[in-house]
Amino acid sequence: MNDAKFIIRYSLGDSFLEKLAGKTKVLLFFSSIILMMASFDLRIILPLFILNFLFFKSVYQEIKILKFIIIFTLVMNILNFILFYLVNPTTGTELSQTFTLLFKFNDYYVITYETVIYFITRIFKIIGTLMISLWFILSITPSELASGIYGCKIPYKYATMVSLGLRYIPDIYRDFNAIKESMQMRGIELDPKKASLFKRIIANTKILIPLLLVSFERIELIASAMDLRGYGQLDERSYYSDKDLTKTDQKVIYFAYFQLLCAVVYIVLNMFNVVPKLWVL
Amino acid sequence: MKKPIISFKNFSFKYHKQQKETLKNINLDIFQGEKLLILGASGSGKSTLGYCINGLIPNQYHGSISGECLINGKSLIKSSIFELSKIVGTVLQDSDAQFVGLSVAEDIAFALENKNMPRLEMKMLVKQTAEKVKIAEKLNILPHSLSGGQKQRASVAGILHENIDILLLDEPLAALDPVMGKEMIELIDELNQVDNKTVVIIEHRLEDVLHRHIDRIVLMDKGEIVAVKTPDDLLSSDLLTKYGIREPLYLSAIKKMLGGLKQKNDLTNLEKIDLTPFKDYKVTNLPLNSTKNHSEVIISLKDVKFSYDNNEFIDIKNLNIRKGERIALLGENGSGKSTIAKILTGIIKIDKGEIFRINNPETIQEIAKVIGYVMQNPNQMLVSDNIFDEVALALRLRNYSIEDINERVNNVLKITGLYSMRNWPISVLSYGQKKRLSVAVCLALNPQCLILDEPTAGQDYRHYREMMEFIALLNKKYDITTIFITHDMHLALEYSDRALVVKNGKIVADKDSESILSDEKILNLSSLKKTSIFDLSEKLNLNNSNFIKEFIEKERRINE
Repeated sequence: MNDAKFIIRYSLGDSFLEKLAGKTKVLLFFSSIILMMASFDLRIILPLFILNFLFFKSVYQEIKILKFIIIFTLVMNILNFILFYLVNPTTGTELSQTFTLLFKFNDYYVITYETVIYFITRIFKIIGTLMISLWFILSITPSELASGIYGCKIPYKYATMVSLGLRYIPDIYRDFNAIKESMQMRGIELDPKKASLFKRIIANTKILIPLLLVSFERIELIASAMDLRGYGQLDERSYYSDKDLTKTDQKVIYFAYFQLLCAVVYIVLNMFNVVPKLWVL
Repeated sequence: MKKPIISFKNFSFKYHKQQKETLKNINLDIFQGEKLLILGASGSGKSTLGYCINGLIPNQYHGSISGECLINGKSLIKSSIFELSKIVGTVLQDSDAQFVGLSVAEDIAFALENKNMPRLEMKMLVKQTAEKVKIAEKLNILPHSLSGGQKQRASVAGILHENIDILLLDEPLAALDPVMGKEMIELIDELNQVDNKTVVIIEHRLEDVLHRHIDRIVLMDKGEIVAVKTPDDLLSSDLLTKYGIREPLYLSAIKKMLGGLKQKNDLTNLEKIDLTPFKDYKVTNLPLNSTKNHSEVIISLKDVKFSYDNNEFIDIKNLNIRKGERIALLGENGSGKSTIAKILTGIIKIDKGEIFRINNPETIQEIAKVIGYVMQNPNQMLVSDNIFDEVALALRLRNYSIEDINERVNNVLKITGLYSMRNWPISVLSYGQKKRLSVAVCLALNPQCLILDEPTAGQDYRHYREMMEFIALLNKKYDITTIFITHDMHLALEYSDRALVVKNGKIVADKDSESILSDEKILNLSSLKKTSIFDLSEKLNLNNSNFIKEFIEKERRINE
């Protein structure tokens, strides 16, 4: 019943993305993110954005926090753009070394075609990065993530840290709620309408201390339970949740490698100033 | 003579942080294929002894060891926890924390993953072991949607495929309701009988464990072994009472009411006890308890409905709770007991219906002045540095005057017997003391009703008695309505007058405790079971109600 409140998935449906193996998802995620971050070229960013937006749509779910994240990112970035423009209205022109005037407020505040392209590129880049992260989170279970990370030749201790953290988040959340409820019964006011922000912060720190104590107790137990079942005895480990790579997986992995290659090529070309700093038509 | 698989010789252990030895001069041989119970009150060292068998000592908990301990012929000091994990499989008490996988299958597979077993082989083994413990149809279920019993089953499955010789179970019954507990004991027995595993159970719930055969019982007290006996020898002695272990109820009744045991064998099963010597026993017709006149309704629910995620869950047509009542809230895990408690305390807002509480409080903060809620885990309730501040917190938050606070807090601390410790830091308190403090915290607001979630879970007999007598006193002296959520049927009988049975969010029975707890139809419906005292009374053709009352009265007098 707590499931719905969390963005973390513990069981998956059978859309294209969800059915991929953990390793494939991890590779696709990293290659997409790297390519998106490396480039500043609408010819790359726009298709990448469209693809990842479709990915995101295929695993989208009605979750409050998801909407909040998206709206929050959008608002913050638009604010950022406005401030950015106020400080330097001709960023795009400086990057592309061309000047095409579209509109003029006064001599300083002008809108150039290049700057418009610059901001469009930037917003697609930022929202695209967000889409990539979100489809990744929404399409993978913690155990797939762990086996995926391990599949990418990263030591399994790191993979375990990630998956175990995610495994116990609902438990810690439940502890937090229980402590919060007991504190409310004692008289702490956490209602934003009735208590000031400062008072609520103080109240929340009161919850934090017992939460830490309860969690430490739990960690000790988990560590014992894992030791008792032979965790950490070998350098290698297999994963129950691992899947054999299907043909689709193979294709997606090739695609991921292709994306990585593109990113590397782009970065190298960029170093030798072969590609434009900002692409304008 | 068989050869011992575990052997302690003059073994002692002292935790680094403690001044005294936790285990003193242990001499014990455990043999291949044996089924052994380690019995003892809290603090007797029984869990520590378990840690020495699975290697948590000295690998995880450090301390000084003297003497010798051989597991499968190898010295404990020289074995790593990994080597031992191939011989000893451990199931811990907390079924939640030890469940490291994200599904039943992954949890069962955990040890195999660590051995880097190829996936195909692993999947086959997981399926096999899951079938063995009868959890195969739940392989893909998340831990949060499993019951305590199912989690324990998964944990057992998780250690089985290792080809281990020794199965060590540390309080496996602690979180289980009666029927699940019974099934767990049967499962353990099967592993011992069919697969010839050596089984070591650490428990203080003797009667539940004795549901199936046990070879020997090791009784511990203050870090020492005080007796190693067969169940029959131990049950016919008076050692159990002496060391704070609850005897099986039927034996206790025979010893205390019917004039003592007439046989020395087959004591572990009521069916096998010859009851002919007791046939003439007559229950004294006790005067009916001057049942207090519970007239004033302090809480009432009408057509209350509540749902998680649009699945209708709680549905209560009509419920009245009166001043001074003692109510037991019974039902299997996940039936909605805790949700009902949260509805009463206002933590959960209902979807439909009406709730009346005396003085018409509205917010959670106001409701707490009428209904106090004592959670199961006291650590979730205690946030201050010392006892006085903890109790005073609720009053300070409500801006009481300093004189008022001092008076009220001191009063509550005196009632709860914590007054002499009022300046102690919370961290030095024992579990039982913390539990008591969490009641004191609620009492500070002078509520008319206390809800206690599993007030005795995980506590031994002495602490159980202390806690419950204390709650009973609060009820008697201050007329506080008490509502217990519990799995312990005898507790419900002894300390409540009325029982509510919850099933799938509905109250399916609401009668006096005795008639509910002797009604097999209702009990079966909700994973509960009759206590052996009922069975005994029925076998003797006595009036159940009077017999039980007399028994409870006798036990109470002896305990005082």
